[in-house]
Amino acid sequence: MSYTLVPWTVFALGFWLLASVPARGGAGRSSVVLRFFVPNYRFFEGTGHPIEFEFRRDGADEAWLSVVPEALRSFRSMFLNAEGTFRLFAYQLADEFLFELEELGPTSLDVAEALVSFERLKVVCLHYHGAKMGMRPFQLRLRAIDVSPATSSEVLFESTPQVASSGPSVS
Amino acid sequence: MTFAAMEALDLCSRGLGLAVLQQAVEGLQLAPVLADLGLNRSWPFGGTAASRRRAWLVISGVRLMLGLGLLFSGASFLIPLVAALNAAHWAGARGTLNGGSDSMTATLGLGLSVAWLGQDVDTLRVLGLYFVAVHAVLSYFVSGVAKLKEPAWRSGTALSLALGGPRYGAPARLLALLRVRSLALTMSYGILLFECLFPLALLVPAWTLAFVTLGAAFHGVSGMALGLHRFVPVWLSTYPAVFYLSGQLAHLRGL
Repeated sequence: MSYTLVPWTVFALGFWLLASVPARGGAGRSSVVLRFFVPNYRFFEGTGHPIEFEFRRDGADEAWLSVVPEALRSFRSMFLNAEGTFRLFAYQLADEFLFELEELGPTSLDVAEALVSFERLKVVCLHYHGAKMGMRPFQLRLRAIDVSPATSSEVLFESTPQVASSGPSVS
Repeated sequence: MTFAAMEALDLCSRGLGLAVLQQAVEGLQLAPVLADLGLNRSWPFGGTAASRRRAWLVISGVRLMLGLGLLFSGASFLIPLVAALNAAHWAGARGTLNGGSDSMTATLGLGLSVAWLGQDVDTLRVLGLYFVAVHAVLSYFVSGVAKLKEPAWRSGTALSLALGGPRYGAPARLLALLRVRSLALTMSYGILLFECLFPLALLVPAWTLAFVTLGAAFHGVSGMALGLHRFVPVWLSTYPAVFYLSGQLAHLRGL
């Protein structure tokens, strides 16, 4: 069994690392470790309204635009599609922010905008649109959309004007 | 169609190598924005964006080399190293980056690590492959049963609800098809039947082939239409273990 020692030591170190960092999005540390060993195979069974993640530049006449650009499909994207992976992750981050908001209960905008998960939404917005926006303030909005055209959507969260900091990263 | 244990282990391992290679290449491309997101902003990855970027590049770079090694050499001693880097990747993202595909990659790495450890111990080798096969079957069955409980899935409206928003960028043609009630119902029940009945793949080897063929088609369509391309190599990598378990069960029943 001596030949197995090095790979298993490395594996143990990897698992220790996983167990030692805090989870994101309100999940407990133990839940991340648990999910590594026992997956949660629930795909698409939830049928709540889809979320639209929007932004607008500060100004009275500015329109709300989608933060995440439209998906581009190609044969190549079946094999490698980093942008597609990130686009799904961006919506996952929006879900995590909404989950944390729900956990907080009724609260002020200041408290909501102080959440790290909200900072990450800003980073996502700047990743896609930072070059165009420069240092101009912008707002973020999360809206539950009804796919039936007859019903209006519900605004779940709308931020105050945000300023792009000197670097687009969560410190 | 059945596989011997070592054949199944080899094919699953190479599939895991391909999946990890795909994830690693994307990880290298996404390293800057993942660093900016501050996912791994504390120990042990470091507090600055530059150190976090380095950490992502190192993790993805090592995963890329391990993935290449596993895919082309099938060298099974790489498997626990791949599993360790999967854990490091989760630690870096503090959870999953891409939900289901990350989960199944971790499961595959764990099961195959146990199977590799058991190359001199038959029981462990078999248990590792069974672990992978059972999780593959459960991934469909648990998901199917959870969907079956939802009225929207039984009424055929769930697909347009789930796919109608901007998240998956589903093609307009698919959304138009889902507005036709009979087609939406057919697709919903097709998915429900496929997922809920997947455990039958273990009963008869001929059924195994039918179910994994449907599975490959299901993941292929999801990859093309919904951008769930990372599911394809991971789930297909589990299928040799499903064949192996199905063969073992058939052997036990004297088929």
